[in-house]
Amino acid sequence: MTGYRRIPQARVRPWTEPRIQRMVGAVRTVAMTTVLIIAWAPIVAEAAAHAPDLTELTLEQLMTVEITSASKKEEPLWDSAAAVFVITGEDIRRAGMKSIPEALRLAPGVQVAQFGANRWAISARGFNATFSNKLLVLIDGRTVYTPLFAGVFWDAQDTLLEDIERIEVIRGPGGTLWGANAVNGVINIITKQAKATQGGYVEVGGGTEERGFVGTRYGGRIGSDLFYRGYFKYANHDNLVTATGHEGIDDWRTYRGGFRLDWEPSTRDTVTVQGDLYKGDFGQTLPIPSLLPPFSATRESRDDFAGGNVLSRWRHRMADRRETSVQFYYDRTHRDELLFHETRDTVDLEFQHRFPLGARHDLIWGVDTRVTIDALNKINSPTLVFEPRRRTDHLVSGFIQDQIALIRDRLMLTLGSKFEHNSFSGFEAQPNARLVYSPNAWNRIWTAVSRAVRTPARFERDVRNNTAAFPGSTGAIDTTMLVQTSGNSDFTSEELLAFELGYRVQPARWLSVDLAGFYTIYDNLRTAEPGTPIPALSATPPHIVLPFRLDNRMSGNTYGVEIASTWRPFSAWHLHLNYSYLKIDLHPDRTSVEPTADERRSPRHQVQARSLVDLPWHLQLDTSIFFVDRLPKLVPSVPSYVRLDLRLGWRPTQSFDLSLVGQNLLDNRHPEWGSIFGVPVRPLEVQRSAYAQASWRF
Amino acid sequence: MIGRRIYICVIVLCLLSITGGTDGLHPHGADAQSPPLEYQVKAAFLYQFSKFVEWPPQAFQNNQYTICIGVVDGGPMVSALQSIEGKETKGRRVAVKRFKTPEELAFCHILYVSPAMESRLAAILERLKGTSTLTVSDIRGFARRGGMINLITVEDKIQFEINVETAEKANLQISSHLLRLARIVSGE
Repeated sequence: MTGYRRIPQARVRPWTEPRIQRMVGAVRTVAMTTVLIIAWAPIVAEAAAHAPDLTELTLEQLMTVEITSASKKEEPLWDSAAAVFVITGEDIRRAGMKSIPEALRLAPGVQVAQFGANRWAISARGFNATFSNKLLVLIDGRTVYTPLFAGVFWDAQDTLLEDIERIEVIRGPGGTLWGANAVNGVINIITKQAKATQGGYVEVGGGTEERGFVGTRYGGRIGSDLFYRGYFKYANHDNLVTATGHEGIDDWRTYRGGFRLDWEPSTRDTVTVQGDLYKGDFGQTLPIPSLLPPFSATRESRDDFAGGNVLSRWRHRMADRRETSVQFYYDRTHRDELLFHETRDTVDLEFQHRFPLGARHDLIWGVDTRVTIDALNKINSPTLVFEPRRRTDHLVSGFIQDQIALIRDRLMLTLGSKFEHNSFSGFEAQPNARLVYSPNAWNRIWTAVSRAVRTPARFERDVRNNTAAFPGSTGAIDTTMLVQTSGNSDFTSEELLAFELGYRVQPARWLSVDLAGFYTIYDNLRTAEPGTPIPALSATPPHIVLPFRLDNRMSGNTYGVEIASTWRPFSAWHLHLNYSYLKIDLHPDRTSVEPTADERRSPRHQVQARSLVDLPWHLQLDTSIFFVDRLPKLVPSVPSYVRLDLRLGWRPTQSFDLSLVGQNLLDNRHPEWGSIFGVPVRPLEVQRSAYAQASWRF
Repeated sequence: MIGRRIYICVIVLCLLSITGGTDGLHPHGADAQSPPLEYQVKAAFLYQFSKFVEWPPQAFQNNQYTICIGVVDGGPMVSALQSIEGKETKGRRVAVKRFKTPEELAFCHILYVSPAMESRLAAILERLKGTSTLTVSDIRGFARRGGMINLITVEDKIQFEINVETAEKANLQISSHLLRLARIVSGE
């Protein structure tokens, strides 16, 4: 019943309509259900009188109600002038999701496609790719995207899901507060305080795709002010299958452990220290171009990753909402893959200060400095080479934001900008202006204009990649043609300007609808441009290099709508329905040879429908249906699919529960993604699966 | 085609919001601006406290059937308390009394002292001496300064401190369940 715990989020949470069994004509469905709500409203209004409220919560539940949200500035999500969606820990549990990337399927406007047991393409508002690069992901304030390609290795991002308090999904640019890479969205993963995870917890389970997993945590307190917890988890995941039904070799395992300490030396101060250590191994099959016939060889490999991090944060709160905080973290990641090797150390120090100015202004500013040191390359792997091999990059940034009460409690204007300097593109400014109007307690209208940049990744500057080889000829001599993609020292930031408009309405406690529309203009998007062929006829074997250089020769625009709604006809029944529409138009400039291939690599329509029912005898029956539109421009193209997940939960006592979960129940297998690393190979497919899980609290 | 459907959808949603705005549909009724969430939560805490504290029998001499929750210069708490007014707690109904100044104070089982009253705190506590009033406030250090329960905000959540000594002096018995969730403090 987490829905009631944090009211600001509950208000922006979506509702669902279970009648949708067939996802034909998604837009029509939404319009229809909306009409249905109106028809039903008078009937359900009566139910509202019986809807539980805050005064029916127990003390323990009240102590977990969040009175403000933990964004950079505490601002109830309900009042925020941005497209925000919250996935709570309880949502993840009841949806039966077993990993962070899978949990993101619950959010509207987010595209999730699995193409390997440990690989996902994830983006918000489009531009999804094998290595998506327009999404910023944070775990407890630690940035987890890699500057190598400005994307995320999702297999390495995990924790005990039981300890996740919520995942805030912010669609649209968040550059002003969060910085570069917060271009199309921000995923902010927040774990529970140690105080909220006291006592022991053990979970054990297994099934067809989740072969076996075990997780445990213990939390306690020392004295009256120091709370701690430690956790460990292990998971063994089954492989996906090929289109012909053969087993992939991409099964993977992870081991992970960590801790968190929260110390409250006074009512004004909070000190947090936390850390994780992890390692994992996985298999993959990759096509490697070869200069000799048949010009491409399929290689199989068993690869691994490992890493660790430690973060500490001190927050000091003073009277009248003044606050300062200092945060420091160190993160080390290591990946050893078939094609490349990466070891990266990142150190980050951040300071923030918030204070009111006069009666109307609420200011927040901060500075951040980050150093990242990497060592790349694999000995004897000419396929993917980074030059230079080692690199140290600095990032210095600052932001200032003022929230102005134009009309007290009615009209709030937020003006702010982030300024940063990075090693690749130099100085960048990312300003935004946001306005939220509160005509009354149950309506919010907001609008925003923001600029954001996606700064160049190491890969776009320093890579040399043998992409493909094919037979050709120069005059009379037959030779091999080798397509080589290389970075460009002039590659600059991708830019965007986004216009957003949103509306939230909660006509009653049991119903809320959150609507967001956007129009975004992109410029300097990445393209690959051909150069003059370079003969390497004296090499063995002789070949001709067809160089492609990364460049910024494309512009474009996207527009779309996202609807998230929550309906609670009875206290024991929650319905959520989300819909997103996305249209992308890309325009390479005249000098570019880039086909507009990015268009329709992200689904145009997506629907998420969920029903959560509390049955008698301590049973819960949860149904999730996901519709994802086809991806015609991928090679090979991906048909649309409907995914059905069911979970039956039994919690006979507060300390024990049992779940049976079935996922992807509607088909034996289906593909979710087309090409891997731009190479048109048949992707792996996601199978029907089931698992059982038991958990104890003590 | 799709564009038109979305347009229809938006219109329908707008209509919905208008219907939603009428009092009949809206559970908060006519009050346009409900009190801030913080105070709604604090009001719910006051209600919960009434379930976990035992008053001496003489505290119910005048009226067996109501439990009185008072508030001095409550600010947003005044409207937040509407949510618990008339609710049932251990066989009694909650009655809410509002006092504008410390001079007006009459006996209440629970008294919430708003931060605006910080400068008059000593006078208020003096007036309550010898009565079995459970005093609750969000004034900083309230429980150390002669009050009983201090509502504090920690990482966006409301927690509370209890001064057991002052509560015992007022003949109040606080249940172990409440004490387990609290931070125990003592007077300065």
